[in-house]
Amino acid sequence: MERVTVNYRLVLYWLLSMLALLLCLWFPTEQKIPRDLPPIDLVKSFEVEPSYLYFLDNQFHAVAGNRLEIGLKKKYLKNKFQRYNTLVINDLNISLNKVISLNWTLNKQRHKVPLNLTRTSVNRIDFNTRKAKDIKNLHLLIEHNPEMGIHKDPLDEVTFSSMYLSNGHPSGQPAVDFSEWLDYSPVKFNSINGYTSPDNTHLKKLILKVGTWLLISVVLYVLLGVNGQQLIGTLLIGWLLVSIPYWYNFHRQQNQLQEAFPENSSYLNALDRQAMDTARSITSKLESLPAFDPKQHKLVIFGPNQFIYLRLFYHLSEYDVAVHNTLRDLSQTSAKAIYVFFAGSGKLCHPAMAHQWTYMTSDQLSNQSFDRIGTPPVKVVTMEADYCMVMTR
Amino acid sequence: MTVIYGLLYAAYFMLLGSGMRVMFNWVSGQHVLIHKKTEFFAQSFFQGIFLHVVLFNILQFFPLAHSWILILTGSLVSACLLVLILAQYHGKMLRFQSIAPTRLSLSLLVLVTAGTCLIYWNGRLLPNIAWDSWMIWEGKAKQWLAQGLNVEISQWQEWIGNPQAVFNVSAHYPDGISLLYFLPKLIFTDSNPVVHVLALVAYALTTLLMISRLAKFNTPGYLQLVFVMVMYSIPLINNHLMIFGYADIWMAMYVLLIMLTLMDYQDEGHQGTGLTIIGYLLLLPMLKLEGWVWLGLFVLAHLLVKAYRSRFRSHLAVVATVAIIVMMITDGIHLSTPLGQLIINSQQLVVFNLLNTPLEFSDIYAALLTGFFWQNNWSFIWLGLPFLLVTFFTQNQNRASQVSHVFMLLALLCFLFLFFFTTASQWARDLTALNRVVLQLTPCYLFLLFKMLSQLRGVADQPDPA
Repeated sequence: MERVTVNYRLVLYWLLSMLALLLCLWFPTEQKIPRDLPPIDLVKSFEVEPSYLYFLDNQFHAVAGNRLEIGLKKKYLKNKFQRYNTLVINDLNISLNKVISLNWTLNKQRHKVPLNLTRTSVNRIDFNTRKAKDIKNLHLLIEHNPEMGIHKDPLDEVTFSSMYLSNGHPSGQPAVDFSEWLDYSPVKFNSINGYTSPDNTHLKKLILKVGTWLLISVVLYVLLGVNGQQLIGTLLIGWLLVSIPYWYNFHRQQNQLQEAFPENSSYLNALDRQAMDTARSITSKLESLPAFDPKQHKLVIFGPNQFIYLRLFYHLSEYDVAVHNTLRDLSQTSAKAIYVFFAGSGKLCHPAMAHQWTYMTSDQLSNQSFDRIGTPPVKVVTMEADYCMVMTR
Repeated sequence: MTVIYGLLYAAYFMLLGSGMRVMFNWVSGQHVLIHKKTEFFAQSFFQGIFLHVVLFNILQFFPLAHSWILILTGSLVSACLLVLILAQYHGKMLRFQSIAPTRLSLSLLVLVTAGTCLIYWNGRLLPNIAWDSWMIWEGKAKQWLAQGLNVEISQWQEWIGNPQAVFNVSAHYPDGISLLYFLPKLIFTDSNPVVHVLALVAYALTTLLMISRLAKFNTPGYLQLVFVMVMYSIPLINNHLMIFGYADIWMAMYVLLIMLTLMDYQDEGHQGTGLTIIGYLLLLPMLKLEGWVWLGLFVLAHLLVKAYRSRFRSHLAVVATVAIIVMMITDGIHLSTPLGQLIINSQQLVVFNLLNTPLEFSDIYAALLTGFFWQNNWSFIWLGLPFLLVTFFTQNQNRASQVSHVFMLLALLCFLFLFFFTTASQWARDLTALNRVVLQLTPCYLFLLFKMLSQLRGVADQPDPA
């Protein structure tokens, strides 16, 4: 008899718990908007050079390089387009090294909505105005994401079958939610801090929904007095639900990384390749200098602690090298050194300028004229297109 | 080949740790009773890392050529091997409790291996993109390789005036992790993947140690399997294993290890376990600057539990209350010590040369809520925090559990204080620091959460009557 009671409680627990889960997942959290407005086909309003957009095999093909801007001409949109809250792209096929966004200007302020990188991309849009005429420079932007890797041929195509503005999605709110939850978050240099940034918590709603269900299940567990194993089962389902977006993302990540780093290179990105080339050039110049002694000369890269300078430092670290960007400190040192200046600061290698910065200390500049200083304490070693080097005498 | 090199490097640490452990027991005249091989080798691995970091820190004082460093390391490995062989065949020091592998233990091993391989599968494609790694950890090892292990690494002011020194932006960072990069750099052409495999092995061993400890709380097998699945599906942790090179994952592992070893020590009171805790605690500031905060928190947790269980606890409570009242009346503490100043008042917090910050409230509620609760799947598990905190006070806990609970509470309070009242708030806003602290606490939190789950009604396995 007692066993029957336990089973009854068990069945009741799972029945109520599953009902609660369905309710939480499908519970409408969006404000209801009248659906009387028919969808607006955005393709008709596209303003782009024909060579960058064509139609073939029932697909639109946008030829996107590093940056493709597709204007949306307002005269082809209906007057009330600002009342629409959803942008839908069907059959979207986009390289994982690219991002797409909807952009406009309102009261001189730029707005940018990154669009979900899913096959059916359903995106919430809020134009933040009731007047269509206030919205300026409405356009779609397809950009190459150069952060990860050296993409050999960024000129690839973005395809889709249709793109329209609507109020909600025909499949209802779940379609909007799933598109948001399964959006691709590629790994970035700062992904070490998590995939999501403070202003893009696209999984917040999922966590809230599943968390609410979990709370209801805890209450059911307490009230019905079922075994703790049932609660653990509930937790497991909850964990699987909130982890599906991550596993899906993890799988797509593999494809992107294979595309971004096909040759298993040691370069971090295109900028790093540039740093490596410059480091090789500097090394060959140094090695050809008879006066250069690696054990005596310090090498100073003039620049801030930014990626390109620090990578240059890394590639040159077989020498006694440093990165520094305070000119006064360079002028005050008595160390035997070679200074490397880049594009913006390259003029510092010219003899006249070398006079100035090497005698920057106030007493020297005030007491002596350039004529009486004579030759500056540095001499030019090399003048290249992107950098120059001077050496202390 | 990289994987094999990485595994060999991990075996090197296990050998160091095992050798040191057997030697200690030999000297103190005790047998090494190995209950679980995974536990023994996992602990030996982390003890080996401690020994390696300490030894190489000492070697930095001497102007040794790289060949000499290799000879010394080889001699050390041979000595450890010899100690193990002698202990086994002559002294009968090692005593393995014969435990046949069960279906559960094999399933757990398969799951841990699968999780490790999956992360390696994605991570192997990435070059060394972690700034801290190429600039500091691997960066310093590269400089040692070019200039010698004992070269002085300094920042601009010292570097420009010292012909013997080499420069690094982060010269003041501790050398611990850099020393893990140094040996592979000396031996292999591409050292980064080797250290990457090492980190994955370290995480796998941490997971196995956690399972071992959970099993001691009679956690059922299915819950142990769920635990492993959770450990390998948290993007915050997986990112740190994939984009390998930041110190936070090492901190997370050692903080967890200290908590587990502290529990072992409270249970068994073994002298060697006590020394292991001291070693792990000392390693924290050798890995990352803020390691001393964790060190302080562990010591405080231990002392608080000790004070709570003392028969003089009412006296101690009175003394603490009086001290707080005196501090409030005299507007804090202002002490000058040989280590530096100690100032604690309502405007400023100065702890020697480790911390110097004005105290001012910053509203970081939004960032805090996002960091803990609204980001990704790890946010889901932090929803269990209120339940966990309640059980700290409602369930009967043994001394080992009490220490871990007090530590967790202190850690949460400490970091909430730092983020709300000090300049650390600036990094909390963009989640940089917040997520790293969350990461460092996540393994400990997960362990306590699953311990709580195993205490739910009808969940725990019946303890073995033996």
